[in-house]
Amino acid sequence: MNKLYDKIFKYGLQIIVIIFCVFPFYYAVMTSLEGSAAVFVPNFFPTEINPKNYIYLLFEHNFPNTILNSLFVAIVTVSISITISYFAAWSLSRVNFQGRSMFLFVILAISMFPQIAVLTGMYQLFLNFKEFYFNIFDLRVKGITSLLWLCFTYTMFNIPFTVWVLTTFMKGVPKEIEEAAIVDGASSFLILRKIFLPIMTPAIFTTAIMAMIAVWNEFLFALTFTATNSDRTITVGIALINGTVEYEVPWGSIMAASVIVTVPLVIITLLLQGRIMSGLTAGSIKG
Amino acid sequence: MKSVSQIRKRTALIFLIPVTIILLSSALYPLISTLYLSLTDAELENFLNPNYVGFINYIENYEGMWYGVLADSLFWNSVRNTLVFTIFSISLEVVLGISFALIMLIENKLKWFVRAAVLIPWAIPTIVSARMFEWMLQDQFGIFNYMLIGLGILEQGKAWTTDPQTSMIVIIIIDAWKTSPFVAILVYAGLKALPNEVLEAGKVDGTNGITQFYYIIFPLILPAIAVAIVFRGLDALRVFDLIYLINAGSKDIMSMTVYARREMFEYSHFGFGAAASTMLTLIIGVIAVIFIQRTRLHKLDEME
Repeated sequence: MNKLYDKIFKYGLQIIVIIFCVFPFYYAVMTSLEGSAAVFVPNFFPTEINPKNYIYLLFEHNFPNTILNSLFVAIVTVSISITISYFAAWSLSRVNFQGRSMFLFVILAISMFPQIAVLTGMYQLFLNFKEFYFNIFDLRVKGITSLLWLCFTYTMFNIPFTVWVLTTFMKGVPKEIEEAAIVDGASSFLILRKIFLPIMTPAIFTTAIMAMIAVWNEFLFALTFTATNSDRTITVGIALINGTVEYEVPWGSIMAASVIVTVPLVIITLLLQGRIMSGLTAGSIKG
Repeated sequence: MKSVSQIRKRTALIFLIPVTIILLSSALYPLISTLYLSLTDAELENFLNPNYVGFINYIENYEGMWYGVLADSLFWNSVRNTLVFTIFSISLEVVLGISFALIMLIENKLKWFVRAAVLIPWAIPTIVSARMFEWMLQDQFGIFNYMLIGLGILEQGKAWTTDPQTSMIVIIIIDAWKTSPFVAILVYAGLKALPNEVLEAGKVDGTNGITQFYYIIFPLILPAIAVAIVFRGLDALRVFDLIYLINAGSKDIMSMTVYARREMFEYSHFGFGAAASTMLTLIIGVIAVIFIQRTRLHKLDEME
């Protein structure tokens, strides 16, 4: 009897955690599927399934554009920061040189920096960049100025994180694997490409996904450096969804937008569950 | 071998050049120029060529009255709000995080689901979390008020997010929802790293699980908890999106970052805003140094 009680108690605890974590998301999905009348009747299960909110977002709204912008920024930022960090991580994990731990410490310190500390300087730099950029390119490509700038600032805020995590992962690779190649006289570049790349691919992938989620979710810089409908990213896009009528918040559409931007993240996270967990801990625990 | 290791050292330094350039150009330079701008009269019109004005953005006595960031009660208000937010959200997150981590250890059929569920709040963008909770807490049609009315606790829906008395609580709860999983994962990893006997010991004579946990397991996972607190703490001190998104117009619950950004981009007081962000950086820096000293995390960089 006692054992059964213990079992039920444990299942109960687990179910509480699951509901606590999943319910808000479930509720958003449910709301997004309801038509305008049903949205405004509180209930736990959908009373109707109506794709109206999604159709509105995808065809009558600027929303698809914000998704493309976010994808563009995320892909550019992550590819640049991962490439640069991969080489840096090798230096910081496999080679002994003076000032190595100092370098790592500075990187950790920068990753904890409040973004606002550089925002004024960044904004001034941005205005200069815009002027410089407008002088070179014609009107047609002006639209992506802000996006390019976002790539630049995000790369900066991602690099400390990606370097740190990749360094931790690379430290875990046994010495012997590299030593044979060194004896054979292979260059560091070759070692990185032929020996480390296959071993590190899962780690690189995990780090890239985590960096991508960070970029996808960023709000402060996106809000500051994008000013027009054509260059907004998803976070700012969702923040700015308004109803056609003042004071009437279009909760159905907002929830639909939330679901669209969240579902891919949730799927990726669930698929890579174990990897992301080790990535998160590598990012902080091991030094 | 010596020459090989020298070549490797040289290559290593070459590989570090791009990172260094990026960090210098995009972290150090804007940081210094923000510092400089805080000593100027930069506004929208003269933003590219501001005049040096000394420390008047920080503090100035003009005809017997004090001006500047340090004399602005709103700034100190925002400092207080940030500290309140940080202390309460982190306490809540540590308690929830440890509980979740322990529940994640339970081995049965639901194990996978618990671990999966815990990662969902972490992956959801803050803006989405904010909107989801705003909707659930909405005064007329929100499910939360609906439940409370159904249970007879409330007679009428309450506007939790716009009421200044409850909005900070709401913000702390959303933050705890979003980031307790992170703490849980760190603690879980810490627990997993413990020798099995330690975890088993609690189970065998587990008449009093809580005492067992407190005296045996807790001290052992303290380092993991300290790391989580430092990371979360530095994150919470610079909080922007949640506070900006929930109840944006309210001065009552502004955080330091919201205050500084408002001065810059809503009032175009770039010099003043730069001074505010410099103060913020100093405050966070001091707290970080004290904290890292206390928890001995600075040993992190001493690598084997």
